[in-house]
Amino acid sequence: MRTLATKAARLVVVILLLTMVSFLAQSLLPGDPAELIGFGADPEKIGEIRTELELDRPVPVRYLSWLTDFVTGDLGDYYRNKGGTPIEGVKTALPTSLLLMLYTQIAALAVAIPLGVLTAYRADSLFDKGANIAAFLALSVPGFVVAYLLKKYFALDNNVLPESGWVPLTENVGEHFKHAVLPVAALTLSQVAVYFRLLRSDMIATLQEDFITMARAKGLRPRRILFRHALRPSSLTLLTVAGLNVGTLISAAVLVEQIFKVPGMGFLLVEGVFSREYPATQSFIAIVGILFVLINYLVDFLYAVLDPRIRHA
Amino acid sequence: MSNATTMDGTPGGAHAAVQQAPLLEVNGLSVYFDTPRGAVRSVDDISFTLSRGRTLGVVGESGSGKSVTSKAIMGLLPRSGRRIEGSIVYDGKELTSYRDAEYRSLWGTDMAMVFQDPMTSLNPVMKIGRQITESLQLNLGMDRQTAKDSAIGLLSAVKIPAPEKRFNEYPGQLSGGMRQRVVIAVALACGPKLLFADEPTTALDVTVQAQILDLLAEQQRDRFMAMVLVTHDLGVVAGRADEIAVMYAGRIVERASTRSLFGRMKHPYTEALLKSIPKLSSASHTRLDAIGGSPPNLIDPPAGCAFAARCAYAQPRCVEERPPLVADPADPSHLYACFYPVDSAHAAGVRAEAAAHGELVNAHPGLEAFPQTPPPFDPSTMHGGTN
Amino acid sequence: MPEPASSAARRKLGIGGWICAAWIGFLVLVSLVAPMLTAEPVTENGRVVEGCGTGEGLPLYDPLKCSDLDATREQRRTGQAVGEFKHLTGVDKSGGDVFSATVIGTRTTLIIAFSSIALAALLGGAMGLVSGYLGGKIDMIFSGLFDVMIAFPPLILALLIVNTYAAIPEDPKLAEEAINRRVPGIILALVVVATPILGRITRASTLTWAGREFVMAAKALGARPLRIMLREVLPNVVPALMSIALLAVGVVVVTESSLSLIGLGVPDGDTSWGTVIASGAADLRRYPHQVFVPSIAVILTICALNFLGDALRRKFDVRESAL
Repeated sequence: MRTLATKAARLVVVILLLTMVSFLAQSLLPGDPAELIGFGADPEKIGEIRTELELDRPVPVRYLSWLTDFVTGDLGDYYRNKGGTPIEGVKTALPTSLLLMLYTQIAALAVAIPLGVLTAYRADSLFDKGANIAAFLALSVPGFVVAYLLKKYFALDNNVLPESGWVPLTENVGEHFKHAVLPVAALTLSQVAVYFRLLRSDMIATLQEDFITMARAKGLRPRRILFRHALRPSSLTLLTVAGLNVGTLISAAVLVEQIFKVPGMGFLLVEGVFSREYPATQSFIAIVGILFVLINYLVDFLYAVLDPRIRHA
Repeated sequence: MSNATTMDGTPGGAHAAVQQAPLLEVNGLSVYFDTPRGAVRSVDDISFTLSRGRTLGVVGESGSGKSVTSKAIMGLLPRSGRRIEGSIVYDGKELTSYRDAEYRSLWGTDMAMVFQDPMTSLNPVMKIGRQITESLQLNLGMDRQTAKDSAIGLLSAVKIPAPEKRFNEYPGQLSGGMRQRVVIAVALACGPKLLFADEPTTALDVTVQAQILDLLAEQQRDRFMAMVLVTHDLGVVAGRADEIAVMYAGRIVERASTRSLFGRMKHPYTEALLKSIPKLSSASHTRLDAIGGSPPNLIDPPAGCAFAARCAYAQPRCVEERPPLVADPADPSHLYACFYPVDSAHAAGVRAEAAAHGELVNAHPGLEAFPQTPPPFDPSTMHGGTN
Repeated sequence: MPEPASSAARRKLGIGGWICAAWIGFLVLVSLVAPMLTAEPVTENGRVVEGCGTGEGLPLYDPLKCSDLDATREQRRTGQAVGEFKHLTGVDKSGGDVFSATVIGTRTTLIIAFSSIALAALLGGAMGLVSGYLGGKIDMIFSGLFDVMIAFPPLILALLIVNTYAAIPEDPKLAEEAINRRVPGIILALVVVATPILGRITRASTLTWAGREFVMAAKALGARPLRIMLREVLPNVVPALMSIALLAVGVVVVTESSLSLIGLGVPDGDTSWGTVIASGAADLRRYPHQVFVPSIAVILTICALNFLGDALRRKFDVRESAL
């Protein structure tokens, strides 16, 4: 558990650095941020913005005051966007994004695990080779291409699924999942390929282990050996990569949310970029970064829970 | 050819006197592995029989085919890239044509195996108790509680202290010796009739080797199992096997009852093996005789005796012609494959000549140098068996 | 051995490898030659005629002469335009051939991708080499920096940088300057994204080589650290760096397109694969081909880079876990 404490300390440092980077970016903006934000407004309004951003004070002081606000959940106001504040946006967007990623991870693992286990068991079979080539191709197709293909085929050409938009789970469960299918499918494909390839090679190595031969010599059925004996030790690496892969997933989600108009963090972020809401955008970026770091910390924690070798070390 | 001979009247388990049809009959078994450079004949035409309650010791260097033999009989060799010839009859059933699914009905309940390395043969992320109960539940249909009770019984039978506590621990929390006891408990769980012990003490600390071997011998006696004890150490099988088969380059080069093997040693390789083990009667720091050279290439084996290149007694005939496995006229159950056995006049001449030149050549140590019961452990002289 | 591969196949690129290398070579050639092949924009009274090519069509694929003005925009859009050749892959909103646009866009995309990875390889390679070889405080600072940079999802990091450094303000005076800064801004963003990845792999590889006997021998002979790093360690680290850099080029190509889709990509007036895709995506119902034709180029390129990267990694036994 000592390692978890050191990791927690590291976590805090990384998050602080992260917020610092995303805040400092703002002060590196070319020209006067107030002028940029309030372009076209009267000088009085620009002056207001300047006071609010505390542009006359030194950067470290501004950072600390921003950080205090950020930690207490005060993300300030939008300068141009009418209706709602940044924090209200985050309150609905963050759960949406998290749900989207959760569905994606579940779907990806649900496909990748049986596929990886089966191909490892039948390594070098025709099925295995086919799955490998498919995975290689899937890794070469950017998420947005998959998204556009799905959108064109299922929504525009055949009208089976909604083209875009999002219905919260609490509002209408059926519609919620109908709207979730395409964005989740678009995000899932490359994740499946990543997990499948990893699990397959890991399982092949695990299946060579003595304890697998011993499990066979006990008279256990292949299915039990594969899923109860071989999958568990292999799933630990899978978990680590699943955590690290969240970064890629977040990047892909930003685009997919854009393509399917899912009001998640990515959507909020891009909206902020387009309407030049610099302060709000910096906060959104910090939130996404923190989310990523936290998920990885959670993975480390889960890892220690799942692996007795680490727990009892 | 069939050299299957049952051994009778040798000292052994408590049930040795009971006349039994053999549980396992192996006849002309050969195992080939395909490699990029050609087929390797890992096991070459070996035969033996084994009855319940008896122990066969299989001895040889690494690569002699001894582990492959037991894995082949158990049906645990990989399916692809290997070919098996000959016959394996277990309890009246011919196993060479068995598929995995058919073997599965035998695994655990009829035959079981104790593996070499307890560090790798237990699942590291599964509790010890579960690794025993799962085969009890799946093979014998026990319910959870019964399975747990018998698992704890098994753990105490293999002399694991505080079995209830250990039941819920992971392999990583146990020492190597304790883990090997768990492996034995797992193997014994479903009451197998035939137990393979594949170098069960090689990976262990010397201090616990004797304990594990005694445990195996005790369980074998109590459960009236047939046991195949595979080892590279003649000392391990000396007091524990009823019959010993010495393997070299995939072939059995000498097979006899333990007493006969040590008493009238025939094959120069057996002699060399014995010479390479430290003995209690010698002073500590006595130089051991390592066997010079290395085993032959099994992809393209030599035409003659495979051991000829390393043999002190080798003659031109040994290189040209392969010696067949023949019975000792004085004791038909003692088989050996050598033209110039250790007790021949030729071999004696070679030894005498070497002695005249002041060289120490494979001298016959005799049985008295090797007590039948294992000596009490003494770390200052026991150096054998460590890899 | 789960994956039996003959040693000969492992040592050589193989036919697949050569096809992949040829594709990359072909792209480089295209990006050099394409601008010379562009047709002159069709003008009438000094103004570009709409629907008559934007000047971005290759002669081969935009064969309509100005005299063919009868060919209406609609005919060209649906690929029914009269002429020596049809627009096999359709046209965009303003009548430009999509295939031509993709060919033209190759240049900008490749310049952005390769220059950013080259810079990142130099920067990350140097940092990783120094960090791994010298260790100590420098290592702590550089590794920590890599850790923090990797903590940002790549697209978010790129977005942050482009939005900060090359946001295009509404003020027309400032806008012109910002537009010129856009491509360097994108390259900067991609360098920042790729540097920690390449830095980490270099550091890990350096650590394994720095302990080898020949490095010790050089040390014992009194060679200076810089000399050992460049002469003894660097040549051995390059394969690992190269194999990951190839994969990184693929990541960067996708990120470039992604930035365009968000609206932070290559500015108007310049064409890249990303801009072609983005303008098609704006009206997917009518211009799906404009999304998928350049996407095929993107997919083929990533396929080729991944294949070459994998081959290189197998050859030099670079472990992904070192990332």
